[in-house]
Amino acid sequence: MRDEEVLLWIERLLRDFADEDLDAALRAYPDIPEVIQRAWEVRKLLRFFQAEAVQVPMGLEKAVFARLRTVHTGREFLDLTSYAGRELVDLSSQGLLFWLLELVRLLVGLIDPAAGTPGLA
Amino acid sequence: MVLSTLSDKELVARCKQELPGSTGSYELLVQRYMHQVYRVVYGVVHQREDAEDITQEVFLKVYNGLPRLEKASSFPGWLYRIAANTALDALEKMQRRKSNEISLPEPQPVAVAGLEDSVLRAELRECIQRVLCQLKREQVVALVLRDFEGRPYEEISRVLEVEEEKQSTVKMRIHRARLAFQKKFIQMCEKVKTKARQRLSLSTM
Repeated sequence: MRDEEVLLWIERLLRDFADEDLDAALRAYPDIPEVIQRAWEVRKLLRFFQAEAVQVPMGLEKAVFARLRTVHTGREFLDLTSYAGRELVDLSSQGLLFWLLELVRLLVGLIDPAAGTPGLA
Repeated sequence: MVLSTLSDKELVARCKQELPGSTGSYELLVQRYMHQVYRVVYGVVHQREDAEDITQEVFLKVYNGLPRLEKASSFPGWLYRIAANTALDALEKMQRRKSNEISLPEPQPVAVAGLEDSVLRAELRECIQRVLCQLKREQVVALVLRDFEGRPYEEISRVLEVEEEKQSTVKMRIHRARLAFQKKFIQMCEKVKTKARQRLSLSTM
């Protein structure tokens, strides 16, 4: 008997539809009832275990929204923190070099305003 | 347009367009699926506070991943997979933490009439969670959705990414998951097994 056929019988058994065909099949394949029984008992055990009514705790929805808004606002902030294609919070050596050059340009710009055009690095 | 009149598919499509710019549609989607996600998560961890934290984490993952979801119609299955996987990751972490802790003798539950089932459930929780951590992810998802949640086969097909017409495949996977569970349960739950056997008249455990 193929797996699919066994499953059909299992389904029928689980729905308490025992009939002559089923009885005949069970007689022909004596190991099937035991396999069915094992699966059925697992289902019974798990249903017993999960029998309690699960309610969503009060305030969970608000907590999810609050966390979402925090992340969302943080993301918006990070979007704002880019300058000339570079993250303001970029702490890599290249990033530091970039900002150092920007600082030098600004300082030079203070001495000679025509030379200090920001964002050209 | 009134958002609440949108179908789930339309709402997901709208979220994909709006995120990450605006969270209005997404908040409605969260409201619609909050209960299902919480139940799946609670089914795995069985602790309210943990389930709350994990549910929040699930919706953050979905928020981050939704713009990249290809088909709006595959949203429910995708969401359940994220919920089940996040809960299982958390459960595995909890189990590892527990195994590193010094184990103290557990207080013996007091048997009071009417409370026996709750006591048995509490004892089963510890054991069932250890068993779930030993099974394949797909098997856990199948058991949680079918035996804990009683979800229909079509829905489980979508979560397990099996073509909906091939329900026999899904049924077979659920069946195999139950047998795998039973094998581990017998090996790992010696103490509580006897109680469960008596209470539920189980003969094969």
